Amino acid sequence: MMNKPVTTAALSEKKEELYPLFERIAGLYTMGDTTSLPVETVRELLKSLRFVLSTGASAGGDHTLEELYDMGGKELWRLAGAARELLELAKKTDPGYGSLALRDTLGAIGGFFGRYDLRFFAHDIPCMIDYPLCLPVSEELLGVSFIGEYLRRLIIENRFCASFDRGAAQKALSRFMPDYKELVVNLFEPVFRCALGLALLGKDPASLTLDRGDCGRLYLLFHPFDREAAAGLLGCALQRINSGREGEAEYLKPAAENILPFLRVASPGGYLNLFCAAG
Amino acid sequence: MDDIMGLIPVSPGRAKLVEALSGLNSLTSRYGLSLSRQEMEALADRQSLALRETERVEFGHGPAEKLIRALCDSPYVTGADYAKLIGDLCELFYQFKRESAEAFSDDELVEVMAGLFNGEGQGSLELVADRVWQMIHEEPGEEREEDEAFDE
Repeated sequence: MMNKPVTTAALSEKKEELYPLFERIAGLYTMGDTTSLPVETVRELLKSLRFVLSTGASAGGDHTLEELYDMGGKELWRLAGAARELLELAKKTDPGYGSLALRDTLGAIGGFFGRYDLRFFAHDIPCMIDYPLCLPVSEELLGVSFIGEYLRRLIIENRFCASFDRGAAQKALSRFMPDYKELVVNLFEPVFRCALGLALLGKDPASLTLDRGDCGRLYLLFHPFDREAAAGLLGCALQRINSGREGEAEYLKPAAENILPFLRVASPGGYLNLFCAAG
Repeated sequence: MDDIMGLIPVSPGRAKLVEALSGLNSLTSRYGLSLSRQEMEALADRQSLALRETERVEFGHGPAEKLIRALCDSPYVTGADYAKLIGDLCELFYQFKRESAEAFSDDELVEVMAGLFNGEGQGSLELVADRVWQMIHEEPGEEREEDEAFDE
């Protein structure tokens, strides 16, 4: 979910509402200990306030800032609850390839919920997310919105990978990068590319194994390169590997489109790497 | 500075502070101390400048009001240097807030400063500054050298 941020210009028109609201939040933050704060702290409190207001504004309608703040806070609580459930699902759907980065990231997100300060630093993401997704979450998403979207995407990747035999997937990953378990690399993408390559050739994607001959045929399939035709071929192949699970088609399409520039410039040898093929 | 910072004033502004300080003249006049409007405005300006220099934002009236209440009966405050003294103490107050990384509440810091000013410092701002600085940077359990020498 991408909330349209409340702009400074919009807040500027409501300055007389903004200051008392911010004063109240700052007072709660300091608990009466002080009436002044470092600029850095004020900036973070303001970023949080703007994020909460933006979340509240996503429901639409004409509201005062106080109302938007209350609505945004409630929505963020709801999102935090939903994100907890997504974390459990992400753990359950882990394809079990033994990635340390994925294990550590899921552990860190577990700690996120204990450290997340929705009242004062709702925009913050107090945990380290090392494991990279094939399609990274926009950095415009903040706080629990970011975490929720990260987990939603991870679950799509996990489920896709888990639909293949684990041994076959691990062989494909080893061809891609022998020490993939220790490296901070995305594990969905090699599995996806193998499946996509086989689907492009009209073969059963289940084996996740392409050889040099397969890659030669793929090279010929895309040359001479025509972007529109290539996109069409990918679209057809995607239909063969898309399971129809929620959100998968929308995720696989841009993931496949990421390959387009490489399909154009890679040499026949480069296609071996592109589709994680056995040399 | 983030664009949104422009929506929040760094200090409450002259008018608010002058209004707050005006009410204190009736309290301080019994000790022969009072601030003219011009002095209050100058104090508000010094406070604003100190906030900018220490990179802080003030939501209340600032320390001037509390410092005046704490020091108006001090034997070391005279009418001649009253306005300047309060301005100097406000600057120190914000410097200490920054330097101590928020370790003191406003009331605690005013109490410490007033205690030192009226006690050991005998009206010396330099000594107040020196002692609070030491207090902020002293490791727990660490004692000042002269204290150790005195103890011996």
